[in-house]
Amino acid sequence: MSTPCYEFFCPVKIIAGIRSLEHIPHELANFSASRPLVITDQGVKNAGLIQHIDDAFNSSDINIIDIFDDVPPDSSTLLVTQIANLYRKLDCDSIIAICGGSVIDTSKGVNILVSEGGDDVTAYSGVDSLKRPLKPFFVIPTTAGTGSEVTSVAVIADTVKNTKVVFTCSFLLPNVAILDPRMTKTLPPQITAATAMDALTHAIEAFTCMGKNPLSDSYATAAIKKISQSIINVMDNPDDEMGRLELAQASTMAGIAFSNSMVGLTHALGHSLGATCHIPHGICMNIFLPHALDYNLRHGESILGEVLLPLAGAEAYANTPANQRPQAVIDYIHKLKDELHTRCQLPRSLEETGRVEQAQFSKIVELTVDDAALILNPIEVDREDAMAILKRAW
Amino acid sequence: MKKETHTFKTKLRDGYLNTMLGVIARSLCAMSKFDTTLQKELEGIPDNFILQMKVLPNVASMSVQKNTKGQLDYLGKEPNEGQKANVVIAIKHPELAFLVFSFQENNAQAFARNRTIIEGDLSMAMRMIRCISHLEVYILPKVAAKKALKRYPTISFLEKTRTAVKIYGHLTLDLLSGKTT
Repeated sequence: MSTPCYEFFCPVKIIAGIRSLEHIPHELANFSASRPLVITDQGVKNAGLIQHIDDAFNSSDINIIDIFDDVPPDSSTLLVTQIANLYRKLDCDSIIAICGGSVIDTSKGVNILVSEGGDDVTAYSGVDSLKRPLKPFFVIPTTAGTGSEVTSVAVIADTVKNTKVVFTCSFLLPNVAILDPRMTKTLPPQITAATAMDALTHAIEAFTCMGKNPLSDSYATAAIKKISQSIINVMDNPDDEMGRLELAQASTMAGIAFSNSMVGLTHALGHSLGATCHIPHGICMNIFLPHALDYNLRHGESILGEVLLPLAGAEAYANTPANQRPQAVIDYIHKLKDELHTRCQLPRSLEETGRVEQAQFSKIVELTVDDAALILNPIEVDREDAMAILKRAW
Repeated sequence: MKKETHTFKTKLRDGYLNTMLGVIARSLCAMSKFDTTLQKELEGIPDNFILQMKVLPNVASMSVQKNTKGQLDYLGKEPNEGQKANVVIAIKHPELAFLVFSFQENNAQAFARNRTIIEGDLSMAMRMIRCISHLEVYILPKVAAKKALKRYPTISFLEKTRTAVKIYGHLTLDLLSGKTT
C-alpha cells in the first residue's frame, strides 16, 4: 500500500536524446549565463568525451571558460575550495559537471561556495542550510546508474577532520540534466552492467520500501521496464545509441523515484560492503539485490510480486499465479545476474569479487545496522539477520 | 498577526506529548543503568554525545547525554547552556507527533511520510533509534509496542514484566534522588 502522505519534488529540467548536448548553449542563455566552468575527471578526459562538449559549443556565442579535469574518485572539501577559487578568478557564472557521483558532489560543493561566499564549504553542511537558489548548474552523466543528476544530496570528505560531510538541500539540485547517448557509449561492459544494476536497485527499492508513493511508483516501474528491456541488448550491442539512451533515462527515472521515496536493505548492505572492502557500489547492488528482496519477502513484505509486470513483461506476469510472482521476481534477477556474469564477469557473489573475506562480515554487519537506509526497509533487520544475508550472498 | 488558537484540546495534546517525551527520556536513562543490550548499543556512541528529540515548533522536547560510564543522563528539555545536541530528531507538527505517540503511526512510518527530520550523524541516530525501540518493547503494553515497532521480539511475559519493574524501580530511585528532574 502506498503511503497515505508523501512529498515529491523534482524541479530538474531533463534534456534527453540524440544531440541533446547541443541544447546546452541555449539553456545557459536562458539562465543569463555565458561563462561556464566545466568540472570533470581524468576518465572523461581520456575517453575523449570533452570533445563532444567542445563540439556542442561550436557555432554558438558562448565559450567554455575553463575545464577542471582532475577530480579524484573521492572528492574533498579542500578540492572544493580550490575549484571555487578558480571559478572566481576566471569570473565564471555557471557550472557544468560531467561524470558520475564524485564530480557531481564536488560541483555541488563548488556551487555552494561560489554562490554563498566563503572558503569553507562545511559551514553549509547538514539539512536545508541553504536559503536561496545557487548559480546555474548543469549535469551531464557519463554513467547510467547513480541518478545523482536528480538528487539533492552531496557527500564530500573533510580531509582535515577525516569525516564525510553530508549536504542535503533542494537548492543543490541541478537546474538542467543532459542525457546524451554519446556520453555513455564508451562505457566499458562491466561498468555498464554494474551501473544498470544500481539503477534497477534504486527503482525496485523505491517501489518496495516504506517511502513509496504513487508518483515515485510511476517513475520506478517505468525505470524497471526500460532497464530489463535494454540491458542485455546494450551489453551485446554497446554502440546502440538508443539502447544507451534507454538506460540513461531509466537511471534518471530511478534517481527521481528513490530520491522521493528512499531505499532500503540492499543499499544498507551495499554502503557497508563498499566502505569495508572498497567494492564499487553497482557491484554491491548486483550482489545483494535478490538476497535482500528474498529476506524481505520471507518476513512478510507483500508488494514485490507487482514488480514482475515491468520486469518480465505482461505475458510472464499473466502466466504466473499471483502467489508465485514475488519469487518469480527474485528468480528473474538471479537469471539476469547470470547473464551479465557470462557477458562481462560481473561478480554475482561476495566470493566472486575476490576482495571480501568472511572475517570482515562482523564489521559489515555493524555498519549495516547503523545505516539510515534501513529506516525505510519494510522489514526490521537486526545483526543476526544481516549476518545471515551476508552468508547467503557469499 | 497570528491568531492564538490554544484550546483546551491542544493544551491537553501538548501536555501529553511533553509527558511522553519525558517518560521516554527518563526511562531510557534508567534502563541504561542495567540493561546489557542497551549498554552494548551505547558502546558505539562517543562519550558526552547528546540526543535531543523535539516536537516543532517548540511544543515538546527532551535531551539525554551519554556519560563516561556508558550510561545516559537526562538533561531536561534542552541541552545545557553551551552544549549542542549531536543528533536532533524533530517531528514537524504536534498533530503529527500525536499520531506517533498515540501509536496510530510507528516511527518508521513517520519517517516514510516525511513527518520527521533527523539532523546530525545518521549512524548515531540509528543507534539511538534502536535504543528507543528496545525500551518501548518493555515500557509499553504489548498491543501498543506492536504498533510502535516494525517487529516485536519474542519475549516472555515474565521477562517483559521483570525488565519493566527494573526500569520503573531505577526511574523512581532517580526521581527520589533528583537526578531526572
